[in-house]
Amino acid sequence: MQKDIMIVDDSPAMRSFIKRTVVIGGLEMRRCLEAGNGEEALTLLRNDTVDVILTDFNMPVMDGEQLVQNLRVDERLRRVPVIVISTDSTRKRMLSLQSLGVHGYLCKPFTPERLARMLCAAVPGWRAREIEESFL
Amino acid sequence: MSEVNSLHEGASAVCLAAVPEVLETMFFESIAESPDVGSPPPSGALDTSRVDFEGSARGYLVLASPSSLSISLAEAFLALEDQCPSASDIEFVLGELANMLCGSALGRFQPDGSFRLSTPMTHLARTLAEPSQTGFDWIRFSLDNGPLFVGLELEAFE
Amino acid sequence: MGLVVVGVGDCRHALDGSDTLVTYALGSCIAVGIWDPVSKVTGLLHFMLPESRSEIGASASEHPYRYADTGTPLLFRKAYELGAEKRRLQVYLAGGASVVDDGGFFQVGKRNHTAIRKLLWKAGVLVHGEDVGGTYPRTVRLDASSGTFVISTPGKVDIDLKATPSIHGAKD
Repeated sequence: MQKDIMIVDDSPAMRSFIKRTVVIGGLEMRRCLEAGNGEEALTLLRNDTVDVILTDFNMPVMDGEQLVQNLRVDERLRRVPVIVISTDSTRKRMLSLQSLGVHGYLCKPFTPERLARMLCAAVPGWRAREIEESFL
Repeated sequence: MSEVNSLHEGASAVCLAAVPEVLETMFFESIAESPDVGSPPPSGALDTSRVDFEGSARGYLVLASPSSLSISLAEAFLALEDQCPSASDIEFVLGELANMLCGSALGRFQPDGSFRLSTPMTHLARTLAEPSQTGFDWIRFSLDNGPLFVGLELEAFE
Repeated sequence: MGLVVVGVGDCRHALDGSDTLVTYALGSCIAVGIWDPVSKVTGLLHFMLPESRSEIGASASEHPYRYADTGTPLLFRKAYELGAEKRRLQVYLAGGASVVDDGGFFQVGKRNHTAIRKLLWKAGVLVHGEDVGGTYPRTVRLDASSGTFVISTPGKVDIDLKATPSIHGAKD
């Protein structure tokens, strides 16, 4: 079953890493929307929705916490699973995000395998698809 | 003076723990020799990235890398095989490295703290102004593809 | 059912779905096991060092399986020739322990682990399970019919990474 995902991070490099993990993890992806901050994400989601959102925490304009707060008060988007990816491993941060009801919290650095497992757990029915390219 | 020394030692200790973990986990780069504390970068053009922070502590983390290592780090992070990373790729990868190192170090320094990190400021081929005259101890990490220099300045904490 | 022994710096593939590949005494070395659940093509590589450039002379070309960068592509290519398909392959890692006699290489076990992870990441392959690090030796058995990847260590309970594919391993 193909899914639509959104990656929110002000680092194009990090968005690339996450996207690659999804692809090589064999997770069936129909669309991958990308945004550089929370405000861009909300703009993209104004007339659209996705199956899962992966968001950084520290971003300019609108950070990850504000994005999640906005999603939670939107009837259409409040049930979309959100995974927060952040360098912040302090207890305060984890507790504050937990209270917002994020589906998962992934602390950098993380292995691509860990991210793939977290995505499978967050999105019911997401299974690996066949990968066309071959290497090695 | 002892409090300042204690801060320096604390900064070095968290860097010594954080840097290998970040490099090995997401940049697929190994430490090839024991790190050298108190070893500033050489004069000459290096790629640098700096992240400022405030909150439970104030200061900044800076890293310096020769171009060859920067390219290798970008190739690994972005999984590039047959293409060279662009200058933009390298800037963003180094910025992400500095961001992760800073967050990882601060999380070790004060697990019960609260921090806000700035957007990384990255410059390619820049000559550092008197790197041996900083208030912190640079640490030289010898990697398979070149030396990475990391410094963590802790100016004050609450 | 045959037992195929993979030596140090060696690589073998199981052609018969009833074989078991085994490699012993993994210290800082790493075993890379691959298994295709459909074709049952199975391969096991036991490499010693991260990069062939660390050796001078003809050693790298004569002994490609000693190194992650030369051995790993050969492990996969042979498997494809035998009928494995990349999209189906399950990949397991074991070894990379800290050892007293590291032959002059700094933290060679950890560097072996980083090297193979980098190769797999660049090749677009995720690891299904691994048991790495620590200070103890490991023996690995990869069964071609079931794909079980069992790691044995003296004094410890065996780990089957196929059954419990989460990442195992002791931090140094």
